[in-house]
Amino acid sequence: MTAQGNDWSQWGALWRDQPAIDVARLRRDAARKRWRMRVFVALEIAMSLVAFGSCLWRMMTTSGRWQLWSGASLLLVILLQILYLHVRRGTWRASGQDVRSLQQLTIVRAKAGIRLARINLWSTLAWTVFTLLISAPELEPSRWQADHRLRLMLTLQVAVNGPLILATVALCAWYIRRQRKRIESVGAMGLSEDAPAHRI
Amino acid sequence: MTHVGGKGEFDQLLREHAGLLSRIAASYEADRALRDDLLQDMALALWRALPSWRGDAPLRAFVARVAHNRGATHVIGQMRRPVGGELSEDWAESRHGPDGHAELEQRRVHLQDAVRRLPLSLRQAVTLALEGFSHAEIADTLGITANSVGVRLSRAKAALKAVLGDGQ
Repeated sequence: MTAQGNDWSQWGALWRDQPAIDVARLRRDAARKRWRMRVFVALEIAMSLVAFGSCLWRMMTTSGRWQLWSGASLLLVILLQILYLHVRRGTWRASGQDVRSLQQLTIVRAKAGIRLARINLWSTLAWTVFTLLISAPELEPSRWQADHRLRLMLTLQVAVNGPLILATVALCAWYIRRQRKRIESVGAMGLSEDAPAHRI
Repeated sequence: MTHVGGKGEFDQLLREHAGLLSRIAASYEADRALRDDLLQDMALALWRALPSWRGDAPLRAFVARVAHNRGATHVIGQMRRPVGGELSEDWAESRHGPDGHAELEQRRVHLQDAVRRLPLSLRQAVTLALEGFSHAEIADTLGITANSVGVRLSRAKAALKAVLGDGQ
């Protein structure tokens, strides 16, 4: 270290006298976290593949309006997967940038995240409306009142997809709000090299 | 070409740099639980980044760089400036008994607090300077010029002195 006077020497000695973490514990915790991340990614990929395969299978085995519906669902699954991958990119990011690059990268990704979340939000709502339109004939009370199996299937669809759609909308709204705050916060950090030092 | 890739070698690297990693993590996070999380993230980032280390820079500088990048990501991710840390009991008693060196511990906590409150760009240069890195090493680690290092350290010193006073 080049000479910076007694202050740096004294502060440095004081600084380096801090206790260090228990490495064995750190290694155990990090290994656990690594496995958890791998399991989550594997589960997510598996679920996406199941959803993708299911939509593809329906598209190939149905015709007319339900084939159209399967195609739209397939598109939504792909959009969702893009969003999830985008969101996860930050956690897998390689450590090679300096702070200002990280700041810029964060802003760019937050903006892209907002765009993707909006696409996801509106496509989910559009998919819901589209599904209701496609299944309008089956939703006629005279149809499902007379058909026990259809009634059961509709009940199941509402019970499963209703909360899922609401959760997706809430998640997207939350994510957009969070990214907006992040952009404001990162912009206000003042990481410019020429900026005057912040007062402590 | 040097390579540190094996599990045993990685453990050895963690042991050798535990102090450096702990101190860098402490400069980003006052909360003990979050600091532990950050340390895990730093260890993971190191594990992922190690294959890219070619031995052209000292390993200590490489470790510091990865840790700082992870710390900066943590601050940006948390969307907040760290608040001044209070003296947690296990932290304080890990080195000293209840009646020993209390003043020294207090000074150390004040220094940690003051460093944490520095803007990110100054904080990174300061922690490396406090670790004993030269201006050239700091410049290399942070990817900035030696002149910028001088400017940052000068600003940081003024800010630290304003808080810590001349007695520290």
